[in-house]
Amino acid sequence: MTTLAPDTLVSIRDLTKTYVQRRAFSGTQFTIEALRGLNLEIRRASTLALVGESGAGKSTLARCLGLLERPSAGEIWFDRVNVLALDRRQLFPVRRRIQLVFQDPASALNSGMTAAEILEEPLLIQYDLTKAERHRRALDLLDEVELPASSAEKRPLDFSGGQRQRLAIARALMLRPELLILDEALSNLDLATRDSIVDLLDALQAEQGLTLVHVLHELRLASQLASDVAVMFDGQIVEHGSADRLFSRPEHPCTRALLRGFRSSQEAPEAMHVEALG
Amino acid sequence: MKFLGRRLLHSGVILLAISFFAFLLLRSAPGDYFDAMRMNPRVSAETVENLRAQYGMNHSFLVRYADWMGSLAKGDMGISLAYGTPVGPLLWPRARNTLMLTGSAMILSWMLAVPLGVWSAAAKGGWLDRICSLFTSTLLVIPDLLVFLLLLLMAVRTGWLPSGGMTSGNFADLAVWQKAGDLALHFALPALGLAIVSLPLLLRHVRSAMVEVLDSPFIRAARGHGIPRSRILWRFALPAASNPLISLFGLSIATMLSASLIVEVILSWPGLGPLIIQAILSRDLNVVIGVVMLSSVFLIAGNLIADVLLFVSDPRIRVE
Amino acid sequence: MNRRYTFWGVVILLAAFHLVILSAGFFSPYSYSEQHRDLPYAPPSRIHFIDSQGHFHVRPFVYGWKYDAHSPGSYVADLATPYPVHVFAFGSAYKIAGLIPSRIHLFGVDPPGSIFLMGTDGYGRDQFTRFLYGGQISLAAGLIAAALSLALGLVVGSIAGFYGGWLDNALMRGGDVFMALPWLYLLFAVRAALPLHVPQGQIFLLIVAVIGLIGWARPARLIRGVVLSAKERNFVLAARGFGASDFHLLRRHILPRTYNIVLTQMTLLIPQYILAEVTLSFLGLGIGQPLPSWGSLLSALQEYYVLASYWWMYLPAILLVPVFLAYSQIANALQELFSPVAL
Repeated sequence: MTTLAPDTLVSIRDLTKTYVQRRAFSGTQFTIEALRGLNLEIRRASTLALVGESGAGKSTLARCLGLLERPSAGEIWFDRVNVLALDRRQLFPVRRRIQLVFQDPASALNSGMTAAEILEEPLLIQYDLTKAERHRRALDLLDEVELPASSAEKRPLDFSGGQRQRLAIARALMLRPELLILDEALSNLDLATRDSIVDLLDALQAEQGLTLVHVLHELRLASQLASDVAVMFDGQIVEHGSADRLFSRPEHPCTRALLRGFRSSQEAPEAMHVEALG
Repeated sequence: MKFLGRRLLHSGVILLAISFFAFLLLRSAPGDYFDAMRMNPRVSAETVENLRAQYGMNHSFLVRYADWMGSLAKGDMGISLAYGTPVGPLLWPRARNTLMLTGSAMILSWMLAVPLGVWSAAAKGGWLDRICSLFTSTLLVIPDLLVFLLLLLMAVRTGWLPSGGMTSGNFADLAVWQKAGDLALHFALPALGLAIVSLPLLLRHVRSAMVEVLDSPFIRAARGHGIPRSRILWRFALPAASNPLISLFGLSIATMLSASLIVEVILSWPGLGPLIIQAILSRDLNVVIGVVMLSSVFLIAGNLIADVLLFVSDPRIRVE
Repeated sequence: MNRRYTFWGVVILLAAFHLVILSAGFFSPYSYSEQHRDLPYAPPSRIHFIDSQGHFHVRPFVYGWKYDAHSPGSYVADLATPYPVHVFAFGSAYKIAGLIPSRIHLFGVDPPGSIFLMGTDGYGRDQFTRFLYGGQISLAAGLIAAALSLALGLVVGSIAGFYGGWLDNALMRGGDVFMALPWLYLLFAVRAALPLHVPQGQIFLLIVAVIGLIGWARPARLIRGVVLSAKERNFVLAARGFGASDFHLLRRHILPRTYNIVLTQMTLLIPQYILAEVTLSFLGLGIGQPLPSWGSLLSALQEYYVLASYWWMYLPAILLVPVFLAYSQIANALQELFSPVAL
């Protein structure tokens, strides 16, 4: 029934997500539509940048795709399986194949656990390994993301912001996922840290065919990171194509607006930096 | 108004739930009023059974609950077996006495807590503040029971105040103004006791609410404008600090009622406290249910008043 | 730094007090039911070092009490025979920590002399001994009931906060009903539902259960709040992303965040529950004779002549003050430590 191209890893169809909110005191309900019939295909071993202004529904899409939130309607096909049709038990093995990295590593890591415990947690949940084996793998991964082995017993608050994000990414890589979603995970990092992480991700992509989705709020990073760009607006994908095409011949007004922001940021990088922080 | 209606409805539902659970709990209690009679060899088992049937005690739980609700509608709340009268008329004078006592203790303690709290917040770190905080932290760790016992000891030793009860033995013969005086004398000790044990918590909260407000920018601005100090304190800061205090008023009713139960027993004030203890000891369960219901009515009514006050005083809620 | 020492000082003192209460048999000179029928309401013994001739003794001694010929019903010291106080005296049998039988007491005097540090009650029983043994019951009641309330609060609060929805609604409305009753009235209502005359072993469990069971609502509400905010944290979401079970999420990520509240609530509830037992027993609805508890010791004061004449009968209540003070100091320090500002 599906007409997927053989190299398609993810196919999202008519994805809808509405939140029901309740006002304080009066108790009246109202709904927010974060995703409105969204369609998107992601190729295997590609790097996609999902760009949009804040409020466009990027993070909701990322969480739905990362299997952290249940959409209201629609389908998410991952490797020819509609993951939304699976129950909790059936979803369990799929989870190790899809991982998400949050923007703020401080809140994504439990401050009461050591780095080693944090890295071992996904293994503890997903596999039946001995404690020594888990610990060995955690140390291997610390090395891979260029954190010293001595940091295994440190807690998140003892790390710098960049190190913390490395730790969060290392945890996401622990299960060797096929799809890694980075929700603004590189946006707040200094250039040197970001470059080293990007190198690591590139290497993994080349070695293991890792598929990457970067969620971004501006085009500046997209041009550096991604081969494909999808532009999101008001809960839908309004334009999707190769980065080269999008930068040279933008079609949707929204893309053009984002592009203008990107161009002016190249002329006045200081101003853009302030905006990114805000 | 819609807000008030919702709060009323909510309170009604809670009261209904309390009545149901109180009934369920106490009806499932082992033993009943006639236990003592069963022990008596001169009373036949048949007599006891007849009495039980007469009071509807061998019906099913739901039938008895329905009966009780019907009786509640008439203001009776079932029959007290120990007194042989409906529970309602038995409760009203007791409830009035408890309300009089807690009400006046409440007024007394707030009248002390507000000025003391405001002054000690205004002179934070000063001698008055230090005395107040020493006083509150000391009093907070002294058990209520000990406070009441010491007050009673004082009354017994000095004879300045009557050591218990609500009226003197010759109350009926007194003139009206003498009656009032006699009542006031009997009132003094329990009301004072209740005020003493509830004061520290109130004082502490008034102080901290005021300290917070006095630190806020608008008070600093008012100071900058040269508005007199006392006017800032009483006309600006105190109203601004009133919201947490109104909520505290609702909460303090609960502690006041609990403390009142103890003080009433120790100083033999004829309120709900001695009644519930007597009723528990004689397994007069309808009275227990009645007292429990009344105490929760008081508490819920108090919280309702606090909510309404909050509604009136806080424009943010009114707009919603 | 200074405050930290104070805090640990208070904790150690309180722990030492609990230890003394736990080993009441060793620290008390008598057994809690031993009656000195000829010495009802005897005042506390005075410890002397200097005898009536003005000689100093290294070993302290006490005088016995005899009836005062001039004022009936009161005692004077019988200066004729001093009784030296022995350390590690041999006395009535007891069990160390309820297990190892022993007859060694920390101090004591040879009969027919007697030593009453806190006087005697109407049966001539040593109040000091009964205070220590009573503490076993009252402290245990407070500790166990508080643990029970918190365990219940923890279960209800985490279920309500974690699963939300109608379950949360139902549990919290149930809590509202509990909190809509003045606490002591609620305690009495539940007490009323239980049989009045119960074998001694059971009455303790009964009282503990009643006190513990009715207090779950407030801790449950606090814990629910913490769980509610913790479960939205990204690290919980991330663990969900690994396929973690609810049990894993609660145990590894959510419940550790409630320990602050559990600890603080524990220090607040224990004195409150000790007081609940004292109140119940004082009013004759709790632990009764001949078992001592702090409440049943105080119930003697319900007699006017005891209240007015025998000051030492207040000592059990007065000794509660430093205990409660210690608990409140610890609670304050914990609250300060865990307050969001400090973090």
